[in-house]
Amino acid sequence: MINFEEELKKFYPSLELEEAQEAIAGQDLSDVTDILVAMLAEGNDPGSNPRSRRVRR
Amino acid sequence: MRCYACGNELTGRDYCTACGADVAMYKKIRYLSNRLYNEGLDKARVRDLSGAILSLKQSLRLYKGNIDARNLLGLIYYETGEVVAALTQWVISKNFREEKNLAGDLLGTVQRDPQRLETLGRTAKKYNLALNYARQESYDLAIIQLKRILQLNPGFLRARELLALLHLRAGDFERARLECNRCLRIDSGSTLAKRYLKEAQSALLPTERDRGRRRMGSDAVRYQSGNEMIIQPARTGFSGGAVSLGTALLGIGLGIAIAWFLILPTRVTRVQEAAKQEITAVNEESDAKTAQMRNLEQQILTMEEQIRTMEGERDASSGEEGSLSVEALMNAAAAYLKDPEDLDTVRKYMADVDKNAPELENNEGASTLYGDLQSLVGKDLAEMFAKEGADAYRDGDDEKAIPALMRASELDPEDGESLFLLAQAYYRSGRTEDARTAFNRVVSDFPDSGHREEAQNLLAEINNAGT
Repeated sequence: MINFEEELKKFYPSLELEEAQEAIAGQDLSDVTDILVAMLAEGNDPGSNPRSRRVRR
Repeated sequence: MRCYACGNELTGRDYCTACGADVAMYKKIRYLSNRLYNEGLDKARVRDLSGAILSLKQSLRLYKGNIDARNLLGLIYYETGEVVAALTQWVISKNFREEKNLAGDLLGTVQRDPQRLETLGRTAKKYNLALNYARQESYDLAIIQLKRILQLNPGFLRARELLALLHLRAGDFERARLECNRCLRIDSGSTLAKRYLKEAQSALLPTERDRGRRRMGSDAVRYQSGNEMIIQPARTGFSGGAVSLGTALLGIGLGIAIAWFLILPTRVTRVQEAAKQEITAVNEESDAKTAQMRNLEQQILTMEEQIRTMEGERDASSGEEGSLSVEALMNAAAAYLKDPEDLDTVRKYMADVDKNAPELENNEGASTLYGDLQSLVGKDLAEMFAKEGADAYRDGDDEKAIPALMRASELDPEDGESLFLLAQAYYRSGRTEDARTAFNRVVSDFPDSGHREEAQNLLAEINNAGT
């Protein structure tokens, strides 16, 4: 037997046309490649690499 | 595939040949993103839209610049009625790549039909309103609103799922089932729709255990289908022999039924037709006989009438008149015996005596009495009648003159004057035959009379008129 109240909570409001611009602007576009690039960039920067700092010590 | 650091086209190596950046992991992520896109495409082709959305979202999570995945995700959103979500994806896609992007065509298609876009936008607002109604427990209003939305945008999956849920809550399992099936036609992978459908079906079709339990209570299985209570007769177990016997009996029954419904009606119709013809013939014969009987009855009535008429005539001509003459003669005789001088009274009675009446002629006593009375007072009475008749004739009263002159002539056969006057009265009153007889008697019986010549002239006149 389903719980009606619980099921109703699964429904969320639909985006309206007026909200389209806001939705586009607020879209979270971060992806794994961004993280990877950031990680690789950090790896190439010696000052920002904690392991390299430890070696220096 | 281009290098994330310098933008140069990558080769098959794990580093960029232009800037030397390590691209091994980057390439793997891009491959994985493409793979998830392909998976999403496959799911979309079999209308597993929920699965496709999941795959495409993962694909974009790995690499946001996967244009095909983003475009397809927007298309799937559009198919499920989520217009704004679709537009969002296509706009982002267009921002990633301006040229050679399907998103541009898709956006153009949507923008070319602003009325359609406005309608779809309205459905989104109405859906939010319906959802609010549902949360505020105004379920009927929510159902009405959702039905209107689905008339405008039948593919709005979330609205249809919510409607199915509201039907389930209202106990309208048949409608819930219907809506769930429609949801699954739009998105075969909709988990919500599948769950709700299972719930509706379990409510509509009770489980075997439920059936067994309900059968123990009564001979019928009862379960709710929508607003209707279905009462189904419980099955009873039969052995193989009983089934065979039942089948044989059923066959015999069917045979009898066929004979009853196909053969018997024809025979009954034939018999009825024959009976109808026979009845018609009998009726015709009966009608003819009835007519004949009526004819005979009419003849009987006519003959009875004739008999009555003839009897009346007979009585009038002989009986009454004759007896009247005899009675008048007796009265005249009595009056004379009482007072021989009272000739007026005698004359009065004698006026009703017809000498030629059959009763009088056949009655010997009456004839003798008449002769005696005639010899005693005949002359005197004849004179009185002659005078009365002559006076009446002169007055033109032939009805009175004729009987008086007739009595005068009878009582005094030698009175030629009265006979001639009688003949003239007959002639004047139109009794030609009687006039002819009387004139002939004048001519034959009174040859010396002064009226003979005149009588002959009148006879000639009568004869000429007759020819």
